[in-house]
Formats: sequence, C-alpha cells, structure tokens
Amino acid sequence: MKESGVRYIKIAMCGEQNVGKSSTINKITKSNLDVGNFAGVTVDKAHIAIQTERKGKKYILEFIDLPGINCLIPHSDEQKITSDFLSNKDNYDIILGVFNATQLENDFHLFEELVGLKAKLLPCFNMIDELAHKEDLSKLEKDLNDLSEKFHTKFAAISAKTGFGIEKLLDSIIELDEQEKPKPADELIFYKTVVDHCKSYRDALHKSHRVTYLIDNILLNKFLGLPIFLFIMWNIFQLSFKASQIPVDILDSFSSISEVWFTKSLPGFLDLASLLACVSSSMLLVVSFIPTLAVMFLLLAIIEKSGYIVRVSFLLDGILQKFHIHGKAFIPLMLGFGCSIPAYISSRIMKNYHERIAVMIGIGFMSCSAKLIIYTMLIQIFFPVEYAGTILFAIHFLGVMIGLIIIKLSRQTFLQGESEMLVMEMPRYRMPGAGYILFYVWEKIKHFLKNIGGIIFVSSIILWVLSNYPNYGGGDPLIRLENSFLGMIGQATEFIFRPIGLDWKMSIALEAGLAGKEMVVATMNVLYSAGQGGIHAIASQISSASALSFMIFCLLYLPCISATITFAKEAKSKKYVIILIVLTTVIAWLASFITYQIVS
Amino acid sequence: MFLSELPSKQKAKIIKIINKASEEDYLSHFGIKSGAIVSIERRTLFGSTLKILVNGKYLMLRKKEAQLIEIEKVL
Repeated sequence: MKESGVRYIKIAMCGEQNVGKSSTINKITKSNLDVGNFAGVTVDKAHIAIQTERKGKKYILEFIDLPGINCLIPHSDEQKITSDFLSNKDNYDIILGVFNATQLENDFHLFEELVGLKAKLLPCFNMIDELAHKEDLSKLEKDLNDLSEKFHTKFAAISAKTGFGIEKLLDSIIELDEQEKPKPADELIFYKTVVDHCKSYRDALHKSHRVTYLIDNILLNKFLGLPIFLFIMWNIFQLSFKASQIPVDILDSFSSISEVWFTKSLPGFLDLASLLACVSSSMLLVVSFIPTLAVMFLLLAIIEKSGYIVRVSFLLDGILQKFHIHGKAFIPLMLGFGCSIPAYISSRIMKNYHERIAVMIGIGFMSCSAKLIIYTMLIQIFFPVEYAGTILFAIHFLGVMIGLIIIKLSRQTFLQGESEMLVMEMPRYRMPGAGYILFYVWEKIKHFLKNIGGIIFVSSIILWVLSNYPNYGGGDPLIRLENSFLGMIGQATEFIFRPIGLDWKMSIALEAGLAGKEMVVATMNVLYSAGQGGIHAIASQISSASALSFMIFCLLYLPCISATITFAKEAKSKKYVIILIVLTTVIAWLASFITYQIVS
Repeated sequence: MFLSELPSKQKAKIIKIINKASEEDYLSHFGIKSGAIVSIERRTLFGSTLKILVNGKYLMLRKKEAQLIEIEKVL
C-alpha cells in the first residue's frame, strides 16, 4: 500500500507466548507518535503504527501484535486468529518472528513453519541482554552480523527490557522490505548457526559465573565476609593517608620559600608579593590534594565497578534492616565517601521516597573526600603518624554510625513507612579495565582541578584582601590579621564556636567550608601561616583537643553549597532541606562539644 | 513449601507468588515467576538475606520476600 512518498509497511509480530512481543512493540512505540487500538472482529489483535524516516524517505510501520503460538496448527481460538491472519498474505508485508535468545533451540520448529509461509521473515532475537554481559553484547552482535551477511539474511538482536537494538530493528525491517526474500534454505541454516552460537555464549556465561562463585565463597563467607570488608576499608584509608604525606611536606617548605622569593624578586611591591605568595601557596595546596584524591577515587572505583559493592550490600543488609533501610542503601552511602553529589543522585535506586530521603540525610554524615584532606593535614600536625590510618578509619566509622542512627530515628519519626522489596542482581565479578579506571580517575581529578581550582584561586584572592585590609601596612602581622575584615567576621561569630574549643580563625575556615570543604584547608593555610610561613605554624596556635573537635565538626556539619543544592533538587521538598541544615549543624556542634569537653 | 524453607543448593520450581500484583510484576522482571527453577546459593550469618540463583542469574532477596514465594522441590 503506497501513499504519496510514504512507504507503508505492515509487520505481523508472531512468536511463542512470553517471548516479549508486546513489550517489544511497547518499547518501539514509546517514543513515537501514532498509537491506536482498533476494536472489531479481531479483538485479540493490536495494531500500532509509528512514523519514521530513513535516508530521507518516510515510512509508516504498522505492527500487528498477534497472540502467541507454538506452531501454525491452532490449538485454541486465539492461536487460530494468528494462523488465519498469517495464511492470508495480503494482511502483512513482513513477518517479525520474535524468539527468546536464551532458548532458541526450542523455537526451531516454529521458525521452520514461518519460513514455509514464503513471506519475508525477520527473525528477532529478544532478551539478548540475558545471553551476554553488556561488554560482550557488541561482540555477539557483530558475530551475528557476520553470519547474516554470509547467508544474505536479515535479523534483529534486541532487548525489549533495556531497549538495546530497537533502532537497528527498525532499520532491518526497512532494509528487508526493500530487498528480495532470501532463499529458505539459507534462512534455515542461518537460524541453526545462530542457535549454536547463542548456546556457546550461554555456556560462557555460566563458566564466568564459576569464577565469581569461587570468589564469593570467600568474600561472602558467613563469618569472614564482614571482617574482610572492614579490613579493605581500613586499608583504603591507610593508603590514602600515605599518599597525602609526601605533597604536604613539599608544600610546607614551598610556602615558606615562596614568600621570601616573591618578596625578594618584587622589591617595592610588597603587597603584590604577599598576594602572589598567598595565591601560589593556595594553588599548590590544590595540587597537593591530588595524590590523596587519586588514591581514594581509584580504590572506590575498583570496589564499585568490580561488582564488590553489591556484595557488601548483601553482607550489610541484615544490619541495615535494623536501621529501617535495606542493603541497597549501602551503595549511595559508600559513594558519599567520594562526594555527596553523585551519592545523592545514586540514591535514586531507592524506590521508596521516605526511605530515600532518610538515606540522603544519612549521606551528609559520610565523610567526603574533600574532608579527607582536612583530616590528613591535621593528623599529620597533631597526631602520631603510625596511627593515622586508624584515626582516619575511626573518623569515617563515627560518621557512618551517627549517619545510621539519624537514619533510624528519622525512619521512626518523620520518615516512616514500609521498606521497599529488596531484589538486586549480583553481577559476575569483572576486573574493570586499567585504561577505563585510569580515565575515570583522571576525569574526576580534572573535574576537581577545574572546579575547585577555580574556586580556590578566586577565594584565595578574596581571603588575602579580607585578611590584609583595612589596616594594610606595617605592624605585627598577627595583630593586623585580628583587625582585618576577616578578623572582624571571625570574632563576631566566634561565640558560637568558643564552647567547642575553636578560635575565630577556625570559625572562618568552617564558614568558608560551606562553599566547598576544600576551602577549609585553603583558608587555614592563609590564616595560620600569616607572618610565619608554613602550615605547621598552626600547631603553636591551637591545642590538639581543639583540632580533634574541629575534625569532628567538619565530619558532621552541613555538606557544601553544591551538595545541598543537589539534595534540594533530588528531595524536591524545602522541608527536608531545612531539616538537613538544622540536623547537621546541631549534631556537629553537640558532637564537637562533647569531644572537646572530654578530651580537654 | 516456601522458598525461605528450601535448604541451600537444592533446586525447586516456583509455583506461585503470594503477593500484590505490582510486587509480582516487580519480581517477574528479575525472572522470579511461576515455572522458574530456583535455588538458594547462600544465606547471611543470621539468615535474613538470601543469594539465589534463578535463570542463570544471581540475585539477592530478603527472607521476608522469600516467604511469599511458593515452591515445590525438583528431584
């Protein structure tokens, strides 16, 4: 049937029951225009037409969804509709035979019968995603393409569930419409070869499961599973601390040298020299974060991409049930160790709104990688280095515990409701390719340098101005700082932080940290090294009790502005944003207060 | 009997799922539907979460949900 310039193709969909004929049609038409159900004598058939364009030509594809059949000899009234429809060739231009790719051998008989109808037949292998893992899918598709070229036949490999191959299916329909029908013998051999081919993929899938099975025997062991996980986490913090040591030492010597160097090379421009020294040491500070972040991102990425993260969800599900959330919640919580923003977004895997909000509030207490930089710096200055990894682990653990308690309390009060069902696929383990992981880490680092580098560059200039004016000039640098704009702001808000052992400089650092937690260290660098050079100067100005209280406050207080905005976007409710702000601030203050009172 | 009572490593066939239709639909997305062959591969320390094998895929499922899946042993 031809209309002016538009080719109208009628496609009869047939196949066994439950192979996904209707879901294939649904997937095809979801993004399209014309959907219609025509009631009449043939109530069991559904006609759905879509418009599409290929190479400048317009097509209308009408899909006719037929009841499932096992063979063309009807055993029921419904099946009679299908076989009657297919026996009249005017009803359709192409038969789209839908088969389950994971059990093609069962459908050979039906395929043979369809070939016998001598109409154009497009075999469509559905559920292809269940036959091969994502990374093998394109290879499988290529193999099938080679086969179809060899036998001059067309085919489609799709997943009606994921939408894989749907566009190509439409291409194949149009191509088949324009070409001659292949020889029936070729079609049959093609199908048989595909059956063997798909079988080999299915066997490989089972084999790869065997390796996974062996690894799971250890990692999911009833008694060893959790200790192994905790040991892995402890090592992650140990390693990221080691990575932070070298650059901080270099940075220390650089900042004292740079100030002297700038002062010497720019005689007569002392203010410019001091500004340049301030900005350059802040920028160097940014660079010095890279090794710590790279190690953290790398290790988190391996856990995430290898499939281990799902196993930990399994191990922790029992414990998390006690906190009224399920094992799945571990994934966003764990990602929170990297950055809260992707963690908030990944919490979308939780389908129950209240449960999700509870987890999102909990994410704020997971210490992000920017906070890691604050701890590594303070630990190096105030605590014995041999315990650094353990202290870091303890801080993160404290964050997790407080986060979980808050989740539980909120689930019992303002976020009540049934927990959603927990069904989650445990994919096989796969070692993420080194190239991919390095690229992933590089992308994260690049993002960090671009965003945070820019923020710190601009704010270090602002900080320099605020810390040097209005009384720029001679005199004791410390007194000058106290009388600066920054000093005034800090002293005005100091009363809030005094009971938890923090001076006005630390208050400023915390306030600056709202823009991004990286700012905390950058601000301290400017404030404490004033006139003395080197971030180690901080040790002579605050006690270790204050340092500990400061770390606890950093751990628990409000996530940075961008994270809070993401929270608001994802939560779609102002109420919860206010709760987040109040909760985190109050808890941070109380926890720091208790810590400071006990330690000092 | 129910899936939650099935001893580990034994195969069973799902007969029906006693649940709300929406939940049944959700489970069937993962291949948990009547007729499917299922076995329990692993339980956590306190048995609250199960790792099951269905259609060649490993899934994790809570005991609570497994209590709603009626099965019969396959010899």
